[in-house]
Amino acid sequence: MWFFILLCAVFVVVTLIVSQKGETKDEKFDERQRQVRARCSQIAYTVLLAYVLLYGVAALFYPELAAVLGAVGILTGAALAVMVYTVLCVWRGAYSALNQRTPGMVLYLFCGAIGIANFVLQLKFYGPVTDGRLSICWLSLEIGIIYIVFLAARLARRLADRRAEEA
Amino acid sequence: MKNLRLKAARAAKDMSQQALADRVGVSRQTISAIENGDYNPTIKLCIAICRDLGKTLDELFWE
Repeated sequence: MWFFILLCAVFVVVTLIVSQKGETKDEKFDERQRQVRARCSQIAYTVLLAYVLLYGVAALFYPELAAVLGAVGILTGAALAVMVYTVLCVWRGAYSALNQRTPGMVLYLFCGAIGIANFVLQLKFYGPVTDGRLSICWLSLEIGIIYIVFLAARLARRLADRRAEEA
Repeated sequence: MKNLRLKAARAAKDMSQQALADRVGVSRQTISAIENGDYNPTIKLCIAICRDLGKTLDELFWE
């Protein structure tokens, strides 16, 4: 219980610090990018709501399923929403601010590889199921996959941009 | 509806989408979206584009 309260407190403090920094950072998005980002947020939020709703209904009718999925099942919804938001922003050219350097592709590849390597190591250590629930290793796999999807979206966007420039 | 007049005016100045985007302070995708008719720019951006290309609003954006 105390751990949970501490976790919430840390989350609130980090959110406040990040939001304060975000205000002073002065990221410059153009008018279309701001519209796109707002729309992507709405879509990602809807995806999260739909997932929570589906997960809740499934857990109601199949409690054993929710028990097996455990934390992995809940966190997958958040991961899915983040993925949808980022991929849509990347594809619609609203991911990076005009005055911001876009993170390199290698970083995404590196994070994806770390996630998948963690999955393999944790799978050996914990196994796929721990105490009747999916083990933590599946979260590492999710993170790895998300970064690989980010990378694919960035590559596809870059390819489309080059074609548009040539046309 | 595609904005071919904007594309033609940009091409006449031998300017890439990226070059025009940099000059008016938007992303290249925004210029592309305007040319393809996927985005309706605000009057502020329309004026910035017109000034940069040496055209009037009528010439580039009025039907």
